[in-house]
Order: sequence, then structure tokens, then C-alpha cells
Amino acid sequence: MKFKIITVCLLLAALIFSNIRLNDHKKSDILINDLIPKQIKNWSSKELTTCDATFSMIGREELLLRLYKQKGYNNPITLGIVYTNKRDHIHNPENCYLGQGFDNFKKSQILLDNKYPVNLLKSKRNRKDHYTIFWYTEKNKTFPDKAAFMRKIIKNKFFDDQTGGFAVVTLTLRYEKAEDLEKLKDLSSEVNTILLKTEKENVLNENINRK
Amino acid sequence: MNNLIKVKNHIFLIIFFLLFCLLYKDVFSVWYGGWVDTDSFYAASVFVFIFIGYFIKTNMEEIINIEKQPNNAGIAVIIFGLILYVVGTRGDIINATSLSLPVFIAGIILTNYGFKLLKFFMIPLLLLFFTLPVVPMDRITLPLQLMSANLSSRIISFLGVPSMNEGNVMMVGNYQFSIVPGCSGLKSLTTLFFASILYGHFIQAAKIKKILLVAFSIPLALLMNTLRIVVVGFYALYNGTQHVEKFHDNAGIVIFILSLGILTLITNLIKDKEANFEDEV
Repeated sequence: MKFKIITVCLLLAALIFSNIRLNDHKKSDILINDLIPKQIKNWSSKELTTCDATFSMIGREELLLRLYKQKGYNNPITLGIVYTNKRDHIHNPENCYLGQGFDNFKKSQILLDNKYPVNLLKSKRNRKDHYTIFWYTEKNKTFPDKAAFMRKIIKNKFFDDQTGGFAVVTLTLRYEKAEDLEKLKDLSSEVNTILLKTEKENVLNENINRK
Repeated sequence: MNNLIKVKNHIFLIIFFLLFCLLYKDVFSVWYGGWVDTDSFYAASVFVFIFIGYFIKTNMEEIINIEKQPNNAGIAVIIFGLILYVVGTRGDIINATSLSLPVFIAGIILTNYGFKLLKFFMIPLLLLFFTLPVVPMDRITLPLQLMSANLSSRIISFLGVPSMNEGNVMMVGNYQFSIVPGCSGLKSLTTLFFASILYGHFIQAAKIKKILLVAFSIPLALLMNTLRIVVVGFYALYNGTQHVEKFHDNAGIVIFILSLGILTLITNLIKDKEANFEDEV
């Protein structure tokens, strides 16, 4: 009898702990296509499409896929962002690239604006070198490491802190000369600035609304 | 009056059942979606539940007569289930929430009825893993997709048709196919794996033979899936892509029946020969 009562109490505890609301933050409703401008400085863009199978894993409104070109520079950069508040919609870009036929990955870490750690991935496709800069972002922080990023998301969700969204950001170009890497870093830095600034504004607005 | 006594004797089982309904009411719709969707990784769940029901029904007498020895260690198991459940529910990790269910059940059995009964229920509890999203399937499908695309394009090339793959995208002649997660072979793998466990449970054979039968189901599923991709590739090459989706679905059914047939044949070969009455005399 004693054990049965203990069991019932533990199951009730599970029910209570999982349903306690610790705060009343609401998730942001910003769409990523509205968040990132089509024109970033002297980079202009066109929208890209992807296969329907992609949308079995993420929502259409969560994905941004654009090709950015700069006048006088012939090498376009593909920008991909998944912006969501669903943890399982965030994936490792290396898996995506593997599925698209990229291989020979060599990954290292670099700093954007001498401050934000991101991943630099060198790969090959059709015997051509490609460079990708990717990172995960949440509020005012970038994460090169997915495990650390996931821990942060889970911690946020655990305490009901769902302001804003989470994102995985990738920028890729075909590498031909040293200038290409500088262009890639340049655009990555612009995109990072836009994302971080937006999240800061979200947090500020939330705080104002709550007061 | 008799009904009231029956209810009184089983009051805690009823309370446990109601609590489980409350605990899992939100995630149940996700589970149910997987069970009824023939395209999901958990499409074989109905058969798993039928088997679990059959297992309990045929062993009911033994279950009732097992000596009950409540064990304190079960409380630790329930607490582990509680942690999994709370982290999974609040942290939005469905794998953890789903895993908490068999852990809770194991903990309740161990706490209230003892280790002997838990050992008895180990097979049904492990079979629950085929019905719940405990394992993140997308981690498994990508390597299978790449392997399937690679192997299929090599076989098609060997048969004289130009073919190559770039990641999970295959080129056969002028046509391009994407080997999506649903075509990775994982669905037929889980179903054949469960079927081999069923066969192993029902036949008389040495344990090592049963283990080999279960292990054999894995390469069988993967090779047959590769065969399906090769066949679909040739179909598209000679007939175009107009009806290739329908052919792909029909080929999947035929290949799966063939796989099950091969598994049944192997099972018949490995099982102990039934004793001949005349030989015994």
C-alpha cells in the first residue's frame, strides 16, 4: 500500500512540475523573410526555392533561402536561415550539406567582428572548393557549437523563456580566390548584426510591455 | 457488489491509468499520428500492440501467480522517469517524454510487484520502443539515405546505365531522384526487425539461431530497399517520370512482401525439426 501511494505521489509530482508556468513570456511572431532585408548594404538578393521534402522537417515561414550578389563581384553567396522556436527544427548544416553531395569537410572556428565565434567549413562538391560560415543564434549570443546551443534552448524552454526565436544561419560560396573568404565574412557579419539587433529590440519591447 | 469489490481491489491500477492519461494527453496525438500513418516509422505499431496483448493474455495465469516482492529500487526508476518526463515536456524534447513512459511502467512494476514480474514484462516494454519516438530517427535516416543512393547508383552503373549520386541525389540517365528520409529503408528495417523478433518468439530453435535471425533482418531490409531504388531508377529510365510515384509505392509493397517471404523462408530453415512420432516409437 505504502509503495502504491508513493508511486501515485511521484506521478502527481511529474504532472505538477511539467505544468507550472514560471513566467508569461510570449514567443515572437517575426517572420524571417521580413527580418532580413533583401538588400544588405550593396548586396542585392533573389529568392531561392527548395524541394518539398525540406518542409516535412521545418515550416515554410521558418526558412529563408536567398542568393546575394554584389555589383562588380561575380561570386554569389547563398544565405540560408532557419528561424524558429521549435527545438527539433534546428539541425546541423553539415548534415544538410552531406545530403547535397558536399564532402571532405574541414571545420574550424573564426570570430566575426573579432567578437562572435562562428564555424568556417571548407568542403568540396563536384571537385570544387566551397566555404561555408555557419552558426547558431539565440537572443544576443552566437554559438558555434550545437550542443551548447541546444542546452541553452532547453534551459530557456524549461523556464518558459520563449521570447524571440532560435536560428541556424549558413552562408556558402564557391571558393576561387582569397577575396572570396573576406566577402563571405563581410556578409556574415552584416547578417549577424541584423539578427542580434532584432533580438535585443524584442527583449526590450517585452520588458516595456511587462512593466 | 462483486463489481465494487473488483474495483476496490484494482483501485490503484485505475488511478495509475488515469494519471498516465493526464500525463501523456498532449503528446498522445503525436504518437497516434505515427501509429495510423502508413508512411511513418511507427506504422507497425498496431502489430506490436496486438502482440503485447497476446503475450499478456497467454501468460495471464503465470503473471497472477508470480510471487510479489515490492522493491525500493523501483522508486529510483520512477524518479528517473519523472526527470525524463519533466525535462522532455518542459524542454520540448519528445524523445525524452516518450522514453519516460516505459521507464515509469518499469518503475511502477518494480516498486509495487517486484523484480520477477518486471523481468516477465521486459519483452513488452522493449517492444514499446518500436511504437514511440524514443530515438531521433533523422539521425539514422541520413546515413541510410547516403548509403542507399551510393549503392543503388553503383549497381545501376554496373548494369550498364550511366548513374552517379551527389549526396542523397541520384542521377540515372537524364533523370534525377532525391532519396528522401522515407526512402532510406528505415521503415522496412524496423518492421522486418520486429517481424524477426516475432518469429524468434514463436519458433523452437537454439538461442543463437534466433539472434542471427534478428540480426539478418537488418541487411535484408537495407539490400531490398536498394533493390527497390534500382528498380524505380530503371522504370523511370524506360518509362519517364509520369507514373513513377505510383510505381515507387507499388514496388515498395512488393519488395516488402518479398522481404517478409525471405525472412519466413530463413525462419523455416533454422527452426528445430518437429519430432516424428514414428521415430520416437
